[in-house]
Amino acid sequence: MKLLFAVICLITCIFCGIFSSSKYTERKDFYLDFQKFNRRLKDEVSFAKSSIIEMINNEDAGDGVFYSYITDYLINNNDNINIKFLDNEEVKYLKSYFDAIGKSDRDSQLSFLNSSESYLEEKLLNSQNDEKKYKDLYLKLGILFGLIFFIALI
Amino acid sequence: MNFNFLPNEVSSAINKIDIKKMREIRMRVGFPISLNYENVNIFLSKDGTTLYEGMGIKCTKEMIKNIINKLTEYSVYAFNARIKKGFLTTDDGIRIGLAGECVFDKEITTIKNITSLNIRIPHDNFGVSDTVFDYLKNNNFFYNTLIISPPFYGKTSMLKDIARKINANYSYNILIIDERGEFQNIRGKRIDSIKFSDKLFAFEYGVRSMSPDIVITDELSGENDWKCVKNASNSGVKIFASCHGENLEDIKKKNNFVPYVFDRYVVLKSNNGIPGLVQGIYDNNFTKIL
Repeated sequence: MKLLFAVICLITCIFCGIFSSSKYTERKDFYLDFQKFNRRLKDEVSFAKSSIIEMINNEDAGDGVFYSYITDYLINNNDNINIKFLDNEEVKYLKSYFDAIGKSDRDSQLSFLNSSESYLEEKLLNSQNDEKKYKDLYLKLGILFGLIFFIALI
Repeated sequence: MNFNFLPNEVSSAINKIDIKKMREIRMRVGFPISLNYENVNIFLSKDGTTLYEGMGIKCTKEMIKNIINKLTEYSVYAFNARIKKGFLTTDDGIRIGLAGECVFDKEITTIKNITSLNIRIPHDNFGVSDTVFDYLKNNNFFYNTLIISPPFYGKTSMLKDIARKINANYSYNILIIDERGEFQNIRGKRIDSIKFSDKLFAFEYGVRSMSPDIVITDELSGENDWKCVKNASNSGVKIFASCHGENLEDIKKKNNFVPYVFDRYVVLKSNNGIPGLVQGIYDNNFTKIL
């Protein structure tokens, strides 16, 4: 019985480690989708001129958090963005991005999307570094605490 | 017909009236939304229609903004070429005319602060060309035909019906040059369509690349339109086109009019809402044959 409880504690701690680091993965995935969208929009604006709705509905588009928020914001007029892994400044930027896309002609859109590109590159790089750093750390901490409990219990 | 580009309040009011009797919806910021309903101008109310201005649903700036956002699929850059020409079109072929502030940089770059919309409701008037169709052909060979009338007399409806008839009964390849997206629902096994292009480009590239037997196009206006019709006709393609005018004299007076391109002129008459009533059909010497 004691052994079983110790094993459960070990597994729970490892799971907690993984769960705590998941926000860094989600954040990285979010910025990856965001950057991909920005690049695709740039291509569309300068070449085929597909609309944002066509882009979102395209089956090649992602289905992550970014896409659900952009759909909600633009189509359902829901401006309540509540993403746990973004800070206030980032949410503000996201809203201003959603407000600006599609609202002007080709040239203004391209200059806006180019300026967003460098911001997104930096955010993506930081989120990738954070993921690398914290994912391993939280997992190791989870295993460590799990083992401590495991040893203490048996 | 899909009115999901309109605000809920407006589309639910429209659902309460007979769309077949409605010809246009006019929205002007600050004023009640008006309708052309059975050729009478009335107002749109929550319960359908009303004659009283005060009971009409008032059009707001926000309404127009949301309509434009939906029509452009939140992507002005993708629709700016059409906005510059003063219209947007839905997938159902509903044409929405725009009025606002035109922005110029040598030529027009866009229309901003849009304050008025004219939403024209297309109707499938099957059989509207029945009375004229036999006069537009000699056995199986069609004449170059120009349909003439003021707006709202059924020129486009007649062209659509002719396209449907030729597609169904003849083995000619038809090219529809649809500058404003009003022929969206005209499809068929022998119909090709070039949409949203000016006529100059569409005629040149369409005739060369699609090798049509017949070209159908709406509303000839500027010099280029007449020129490209003439060029296409010289290359052996048969043309069905339309043009604004009250009668044949109006057309002859037009600076850009090119005589002897068309073999048949169909002049439509005032109709009290019935499309395609024929005032007369004339041959290439302007002699009345019907």
